[in-house]
Amino acid sequence: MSLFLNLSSQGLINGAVYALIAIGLAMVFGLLRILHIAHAGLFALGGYLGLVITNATGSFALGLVLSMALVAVCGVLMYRLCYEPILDQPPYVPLIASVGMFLAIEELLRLVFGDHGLSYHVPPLAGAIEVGSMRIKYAEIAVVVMACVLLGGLALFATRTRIGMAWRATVSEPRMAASCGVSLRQVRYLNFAIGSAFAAAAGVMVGVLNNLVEPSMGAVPSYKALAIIVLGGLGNMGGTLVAALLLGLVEAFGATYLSNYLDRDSIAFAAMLCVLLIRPEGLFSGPARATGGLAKTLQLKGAAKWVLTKRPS
Amino acid sequence: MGAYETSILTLVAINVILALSLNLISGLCGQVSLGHAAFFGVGAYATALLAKAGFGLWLTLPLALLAAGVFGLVVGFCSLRVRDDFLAIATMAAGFLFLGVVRTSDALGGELGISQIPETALGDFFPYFVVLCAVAAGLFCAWVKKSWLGYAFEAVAADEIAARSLGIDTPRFKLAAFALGTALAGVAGCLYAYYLGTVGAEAFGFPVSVMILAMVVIGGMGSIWGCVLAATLLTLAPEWFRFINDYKLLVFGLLLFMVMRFVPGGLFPLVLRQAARLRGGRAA
Amino acid sequence: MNAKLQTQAGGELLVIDDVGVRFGGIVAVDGVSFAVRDGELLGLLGPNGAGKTTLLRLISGVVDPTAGAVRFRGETLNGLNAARRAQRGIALSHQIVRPFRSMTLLENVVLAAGSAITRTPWRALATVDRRPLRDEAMRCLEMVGIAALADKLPTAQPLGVLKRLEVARALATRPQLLLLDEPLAGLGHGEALRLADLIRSLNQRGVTIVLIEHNLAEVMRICPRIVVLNNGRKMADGPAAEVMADPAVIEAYLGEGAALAEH
Repeated sequence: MSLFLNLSSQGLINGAVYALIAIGLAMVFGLLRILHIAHAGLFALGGYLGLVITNATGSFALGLVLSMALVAVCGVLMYRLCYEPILDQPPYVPLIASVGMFLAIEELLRLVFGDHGLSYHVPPLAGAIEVGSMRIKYAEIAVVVMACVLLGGLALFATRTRIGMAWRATVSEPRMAASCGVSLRQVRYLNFAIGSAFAAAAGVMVGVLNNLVEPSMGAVPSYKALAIIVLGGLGNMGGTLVAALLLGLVEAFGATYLSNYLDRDSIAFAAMLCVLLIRPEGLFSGPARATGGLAKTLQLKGAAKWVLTKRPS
Repeated sequence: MGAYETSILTLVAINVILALSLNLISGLCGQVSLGHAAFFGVGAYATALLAKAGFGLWLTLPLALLAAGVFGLVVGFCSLRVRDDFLAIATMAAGFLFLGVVRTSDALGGELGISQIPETALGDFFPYFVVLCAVAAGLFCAWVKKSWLGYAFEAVAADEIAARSLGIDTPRFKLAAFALGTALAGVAGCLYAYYLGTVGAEAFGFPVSVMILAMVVIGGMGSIWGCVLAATLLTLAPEWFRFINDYKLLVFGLLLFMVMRFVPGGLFPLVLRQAARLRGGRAA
Repeated sequence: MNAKLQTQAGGELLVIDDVGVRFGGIVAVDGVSFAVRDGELLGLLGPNGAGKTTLLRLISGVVDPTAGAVRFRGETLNGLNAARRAQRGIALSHQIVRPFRSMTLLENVVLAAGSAITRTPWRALATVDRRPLRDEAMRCLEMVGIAALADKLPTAQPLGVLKRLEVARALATRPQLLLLDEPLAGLGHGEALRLADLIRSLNQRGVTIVLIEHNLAEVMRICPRIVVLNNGRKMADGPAAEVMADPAVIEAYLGEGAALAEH
C-alpha cells in the first residue's frame, strides 16, 4: 500500500512538472502548428537563471520570479526573430530551426556554465514532512502547488478576461479573430510569454528538486512533453493537463513494473502510441471543429462509435 | 589513400546512403520522420547479431535491408492512423521505443551494445564497396524520382486530398515510401556495423534522427545531389573544424537555424539558382 | 480489379438510395433518393446547410452514409475510399482549388492522365516515361481552354484558370461521372458564364456531370434537370423550369435573397 502511495505521489509530482512544460508547448502548437522543440532550451535556461540569481542574491523568490520574467522575454524574442519570419514555410522548416535553436541554447549553457552543472549554495525549500510512512519534501509540495496556481490562473485568465478570450478565439479561428480587430502578433507574444514563463518555473523547480541544473536537462522532459500534447488532443489545454498527470503516474508505475522490457523514458512514447492506435485524435479531442473534422471522424470504420467532441472547460 | 582518409570516405558514403534513404520518405513523399535513426539501428543490430553468428556480408546485407524494411512497414502502418500534424511525433516515438527496447534487452547488449563484430570477407576492399553502395543508392533514388512513383510521391507530398481524387491510393504510396526508405537505411546500418565494429544505442538516438533530417533539409528536400552534398559537408565539417571541437554542436545548431531561417529551400537549390543566374548573366 | 460494368446508354449510372448521414445528433442528410442517368447533366442546388456538400462527400468517398447506399453502375460504393472511387470512374473537381503547386499545369494533368499507372506503387515504380500521356493531357487542357498556359506554374494563375485546371485534371482521368463542386464560386459574371458554357459543351460530348452550385442563374440556364435539397431532404427533382417555379423552392431561397430571374 505504501508503495502504491509512494508511486502515486511521485507520479503526481512529476506530472505537475510535465504539465507546466507541456502547456507551453501545447499553446504554441495550438496557435501556430509548430513543434516548438526549443521550448526545452527555455526550460533549461529557466533552471539556470533561477539558480544563478538565487545564489547571487540569496533570495529564492527573486530567483524564481526573475527567471520567469527573463525567460518570458526570451520566448517572445524567439518568436519574433526566429519563428515569425518563417511561418509561411512548410512545417519542417520551423521544426528544424527550433531544433537548431535548442541545440544552440544547450551548448551555450554548457560553454558558459560548464559541463557538470551547478547546485544551489543553500537549497531552497529544504526539509520534508512525514505523512504516514511517506516522506514528502517541501519542494515537492511546492511544485504541485505552483502548478495548480499557475495553471489555474491561466484557466481563469482564458475564460474570464477579455484578453484571454481573444487568445482563445485566435487559437480556434485566427482569421475571424483578426477581422474582429484582435492583433495576432500581440496574442502570439502573450502566448510565448506565458508558455515560456511556465517552462522557466518548471525548470527552476526541477533544479530545486534535484539540487542540480545541467545543460542537457531540457532534452528528455521536452520529448515527453511532445508525447503529452499528442495524448491530450490538439488544442485542448485541459486535456494536456490531464495527460501530463496521467503520464506522470503511468511512468512512476511503469518504471517499476516494466523495467525489464522498456526503459523509463520510452514509457511515455509507448503510452502515446498505444493511445493513438486506439484513438487517433488523442485522449480528448480538441475544441469542436467544422464539418471537415466531423467528416473525417465519420471515416473511421469498424469502431463506428461517434463520440461527441468535448469542449475544453 | 591513408587509413584515415578511407575511414572518412566510408563514413561519408554511409551518411550519404542514410540521407538518401530519408529523402525518399520525407523529401520526395513529404512524410516528416523524426525517428529514422531507429531503422539505421535495426539494420546495424541485425547485422551485428548475424555477423557474430558467423554469417557473411552477402547474407547480412539483404537481411538487414529486410529487417529494417519490415520494421518500417510496421511504423508506416501506425503512422497512417495518426493525423498529419502528429506524424513527426509518432515517428519520434517509434525511435525512442526502439531505443527503449534495445537498452533493456540483454540479447541486444543492453546499455553496452554489441562489440567485436567480425570484418567482412572484402577486407581492404570494404571502403570501396561502401562507396559503390552509395552510388547504387543514388542511382536507385534517382530512378524513383524520375519514375511515376516519384511523380505520385510529389502529389502526395503536395496535397493528399487532390492526389486521392486522382485515384492515387495515398496510404499505399506512403507505405511504399516508408518501406523503401527504411530498407535503404537498413543497408546503411549494416555497413555501419562493419565499419565501426561495434553497435551501441547512443548511435541511433533522437539526435542522430535529427542530424539525418537536417542533411535532407539542408541539402534541399527531394534533391538527390542536395543529399549527397549535405551529407558530405555535415560529415566532414567536424573534421575540418577540429579546432573548434568544443563549439562543434553550437555551430551545428546555429547552422541548422540559419539555413532554415534564410535558405529554407535548402542549399543545393540555392547553388542551382546562383549557377543559373551566372549563366544568365553571361548570356546577357 | 472488377471488369467495368456496361451501362446502357441512358441507363442509371449513379443511384442515391434513401441515403442518410448523421453526425451524433445532427442530421445532415435524411432519406434522399435520386438517380443520375448516363449522359445527363444534373444540377444539385440548395441553400447553405442544405446538405449539398455532405451529399457530395458521400458520392466522392470522404464520408460513408449512416443509412442507405450510394450505387455506381449497380455496385455499392459504401466502404470504398476516395481513391478507389476515383479508380472506378468518379472524378471530382474541388470547390477550393487544389493544384499541385510544384508542377506546371501540364504536369498536373499528365499525372491525372496516368491514373492507371499510379494504381499501384509497383506499376508506378516500373514506369518512367511521362511523354506518351502529354498529348492526351494537352487535349484536356485544350478542351477547357487553357492550353496556352501549359508550361506555367499554378502559383501565378488567376482563379478562373485554376478552376479550369481542376476540370481538366478531372477529365484526364477519363471518368464515367464528373462531379463539379461549385466550379463557378468566386468567379466574376463573365467568367462564370464562360465556364458554365464549357460545362455544357463537355456534357454534350458525352460526359455525365453532376454540378453542385450556388449560382442559380447559370445552373438554371445549362442544366436540363435539377435536384433541390433543403435541410438535408430532397424537396424537388425535375426539369429546371418546373423546379424553379415551385413555390416551396422559391420560399427556401428567398430567405437567401437569391434572384430567380429567368436567364
